[in-house]
Amino acid sequence: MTAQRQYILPNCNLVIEGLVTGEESDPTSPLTVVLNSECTFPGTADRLSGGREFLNALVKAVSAYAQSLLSGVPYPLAETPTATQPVTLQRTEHHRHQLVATVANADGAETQTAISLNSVQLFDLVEAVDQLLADTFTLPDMTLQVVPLNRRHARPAEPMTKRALPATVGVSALAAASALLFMVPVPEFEPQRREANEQSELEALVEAESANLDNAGAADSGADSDEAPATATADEDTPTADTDTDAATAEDLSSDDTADDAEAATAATDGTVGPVAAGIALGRLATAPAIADADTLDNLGAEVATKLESALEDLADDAPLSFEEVLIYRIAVSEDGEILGYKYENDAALENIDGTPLPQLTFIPVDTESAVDEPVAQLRITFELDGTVKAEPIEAADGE
Amino acid sequence: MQLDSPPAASSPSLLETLANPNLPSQDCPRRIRIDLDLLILAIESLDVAGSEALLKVTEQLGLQAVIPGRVQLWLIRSTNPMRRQSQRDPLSVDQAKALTLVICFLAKRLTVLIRQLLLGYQQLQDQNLSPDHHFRLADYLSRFRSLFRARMNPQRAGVIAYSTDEKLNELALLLLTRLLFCTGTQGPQRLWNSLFDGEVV
Repeated sequence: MTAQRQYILPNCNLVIEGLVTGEESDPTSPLTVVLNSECTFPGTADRLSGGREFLNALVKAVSAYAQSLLSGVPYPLAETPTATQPVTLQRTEHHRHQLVATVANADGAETQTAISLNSVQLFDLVEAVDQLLADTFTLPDMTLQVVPLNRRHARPAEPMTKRALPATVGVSALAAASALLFMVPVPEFEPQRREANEQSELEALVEAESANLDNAGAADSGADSDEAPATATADEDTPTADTDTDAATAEDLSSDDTADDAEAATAATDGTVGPVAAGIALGRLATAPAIADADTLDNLGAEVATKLESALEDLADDAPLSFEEVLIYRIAVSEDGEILGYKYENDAALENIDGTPLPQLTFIPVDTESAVDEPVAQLRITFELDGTVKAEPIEAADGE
Repeated sequence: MQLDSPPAASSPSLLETLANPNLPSQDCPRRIRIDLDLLILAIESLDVAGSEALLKVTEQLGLQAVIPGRVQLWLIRSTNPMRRQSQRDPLSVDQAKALTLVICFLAKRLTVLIRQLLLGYQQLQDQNLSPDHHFRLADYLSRFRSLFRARMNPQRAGVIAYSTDEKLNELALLLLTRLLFCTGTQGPQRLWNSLFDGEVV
């Protein structure tokens, strides 16, 4: 027989009519067939009714919409009633909810009914549905089926256009930058032998410096000889000496005022060593071990003195000695008597460097950079005015 | 109304009525921590003795094992990242379940008030009046605003979004609607599942 189950709430009444098998008087026997379900909203004339399909659609739509309202996450709900889902709920403004249902009336014609519900009315509808679902004595096959929405339905925090903006800006900036850089020509790479260049530069610098010093020294000496109340013979001799030098060995005595850098350079390459290069060589020898044996020092001093004296005599053959003061130099001598470097100790020694055989006799090794590790003797050489040469060893302590 | 009377069952069995969500991690996501704390804040705004009632209900429901006392409750609520004294401690699923049950229980007690406020708000809306014209509603909104501002860290981006009174009123009304849905027969189930919408894998 037919039975009626009612779910009465202040703002919504849900009435289910169906057939009960078994004991008719037993209120706990469940409905087997739903004949009619009716949903009314007291206070309004709105009324929805339909069969089992309508009830199923209503339960499904209301349940999902309630979850969507609770969580704020939009459920994938149909927006307009369809054949499979004739009941839809949609949110409208001012906290209202639009319930739209397509129901067939008694004539079989389908009519669409739209009901605007406020929050409390909607809740009463949800509550009526929930009570129906919880009621095991009406339709036990219908139960509440709510599961959390999967992650992929989660609403992104920002719309797609907003999220794509930074990436778009980045890509376009990269494109613009590459287009601009495309215009810039590729720089050409010229492989250079850097070390060789540096070496030659250093040599050129040393040569230029020595030439300048030579010129300055010569000019000074010339001025001195002009101004000083020297003897008439000296005044007469100097030009002859110059001409002789030019005629004979221009490179050996480059004391001429007109000697330019080129001449100085050739002079340097020809075997003479300027004061600067010799000074560099001496500085290089600073780290070399000193010869400490007194006998060896004496022998070396005598040997060097003899060598310098003979060389001075050779020079004096060509031209008379031009210096009027004793010239004192510090020199470094290797074990076998080679002069490795020299340094002037008084001003006259600097001015008259080219009047001495030291530049010619000094031996400059090819490799000027590497430190010397052979033992050297530091000697003080004195060119006396009478053409003799004295050599005395310098103690390591009073050097520099 | 089957759940009207508090079940006398022990806490684990009560918690088992709520299904464990299939979360990617062991702890509750950020949104759940925020939502639960805000719902409790709304209850406190409705009921002056809300936080006391919360502890009482915890005892009534036999959930002391999960929420032993006031300090633990405060610690759990402080997992809300919007709070000034936000804790970095995780919120366990059991704690979230306990809070959900307590919220639904308290909401059910406040059903009449919640319905009054929402109906009143609807009437004010229909007449284009501001919520200030409803004394009880204005009281709720102002209390919610002051509680929110006192407890939430205004430096956080999530709190900056609610910088104006209008925004806070909207949030308070949204929470009121959610509390209304918590009062239903299937309130705990609906609230619990809605918390994890868009979070499960």
